Amino acid sequence: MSHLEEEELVLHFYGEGEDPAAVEQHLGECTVCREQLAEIRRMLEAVPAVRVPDRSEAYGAQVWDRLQPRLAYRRGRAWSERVRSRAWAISAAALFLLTVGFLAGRTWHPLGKPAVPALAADAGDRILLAAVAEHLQRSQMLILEYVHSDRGPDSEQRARLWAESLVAANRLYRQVALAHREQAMASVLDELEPVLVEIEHSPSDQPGETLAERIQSKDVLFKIRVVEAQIDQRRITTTQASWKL
Amino acid sequence: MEVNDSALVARIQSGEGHLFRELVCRHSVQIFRLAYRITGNEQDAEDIVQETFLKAHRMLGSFEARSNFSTWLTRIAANCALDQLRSRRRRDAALAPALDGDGETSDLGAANPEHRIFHAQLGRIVQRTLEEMTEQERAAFVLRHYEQMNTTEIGQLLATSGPAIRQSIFRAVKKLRAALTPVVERKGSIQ
Repeated sequence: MSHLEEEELVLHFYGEGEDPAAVEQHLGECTVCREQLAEIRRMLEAVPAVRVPDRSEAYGAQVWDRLQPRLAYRRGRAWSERVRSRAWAISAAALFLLTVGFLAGRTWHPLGKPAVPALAADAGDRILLAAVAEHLQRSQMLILEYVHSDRGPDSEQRARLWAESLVAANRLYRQVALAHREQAMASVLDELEPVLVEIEHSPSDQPGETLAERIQSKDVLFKIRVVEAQIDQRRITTTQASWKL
Repeated sequence: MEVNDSALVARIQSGEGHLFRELVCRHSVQIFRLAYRITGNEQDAEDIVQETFLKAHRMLGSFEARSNFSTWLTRIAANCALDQLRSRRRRDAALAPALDGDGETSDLGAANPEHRIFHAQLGRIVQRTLEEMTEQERAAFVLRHYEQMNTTEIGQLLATSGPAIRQSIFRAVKKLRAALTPVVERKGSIQ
C-alpha cells in the first residue's frame, strides 16, 4: 500500500486537502499514515500562541490622533474618480516642467552668478520621488484589484481606463527617471509597463489568473515595493535635509 | 444604528472625509494584531497600523463599493507587514513574536512548573524556527495557523497563487516539525 505524502497530511490537518474524503478513507485503512497524522497534529497543537500585546478600547482613537496630522498633509487630494483619472496629466505637466527646468539648469547659468545645483536637484528629486511614489501606489492597487476581484463589465471597463492613464504616466516617468539617472526606478517602471498595457487591452473573457502567474513569476509587485520603500526613505532624507537649509 | 463600512466609504468618497476616523477606530485593533503576528515586534506593528491607514486613505478612491473593506484593508496591512519584515531582515534586526509561555491556547501549558519550563522551551524553538523561515513561509504560516485564514484568502492577501501558499505552509510546518518533534516526543515519553 502506498502512503500519503507528508504535504497531504499537513494540508489535511488544516482542512486544505484537495480530496479530503479520499484521505479519510486511506487513513481508515492505513495505520502508518494515521500515526503520522497524529504526530503532526500533536506537534502543531503544541505550537504556542503568539501573545499579542493588549490594546484598549481607546486604541482606535489614539491611532487616529497620530494619523490625523499626516492625513492633513494629504488633504486637498480629491478622492473622486474624475480627479484620479486626470491626476496623471497634472503630474505629467509638472514633470515636463521639471524636466525642462532640469535640462535648462544644466546648460544655462545667470552671468556672473554661480549656479546652485544642489538645491535645484534636491527640489527636483522631491517632486520626482513624490510623483513616482504615487504612481507606483496606484499601479499596485490596480494590479491587486484586477487580479483578485470578481470582475464585471463595469469594473473591467474602469480598470482598462485606469490602466490607460497609468500607461501614459508610466512612460513619462520612465523617461524622466532615465534623465535623472534613476536606473532602479526606470527599471521597475520598465517592467511595470507591459503589465499595465496588458490590463489596458485585456479582453473581458481572459482570466486574471494568467496575468497573476506572470506577475508572480517576475516578482513585479515585490520589485515595486522595494523601489517604493527606497523612495520613502529618500523622501524622508530629502525632507529632513530641506528643513536644515 | 451603526453604518456599515461600505456605506461609510461611499460617504467619504462623496466628500465627508471626517468619517475616515470611524473606519480607523473600527479596524485599528484588528490591523495591529495582524501586523504584530507577522512581524513579532510591537513598534513595527504600530508603524504598520499608521502606514496601512495612510495608504488606505490615499487609495480610497480606487476602492469599489461592492468589495469588502475589511479584506481590502487587511491586504494592505499584510503587504506593509511583509515589507517591514523584509526591511528589518535586511538590517539583521528581525524579531520573532513573543510566544506565549503560559499556554494561552495550547493544552500543554499549565500551572505545573515543569510544564511551564517545557512550554517556554517550545516557545524559544518556535521563535528561532520562525526567524529561519522565508518571509512568505512565515506570513503564510502565521495567517493560516494563528489567523485561521484559508489558503485562497492568504493567496489574495499576498498576491500569490493558492498552490504556492500551500507549498509555503507545508515548508513552514516541515521546518517546525523538524525542530519540535524531538522535544514533543521526549515530553510524551516522560509522561
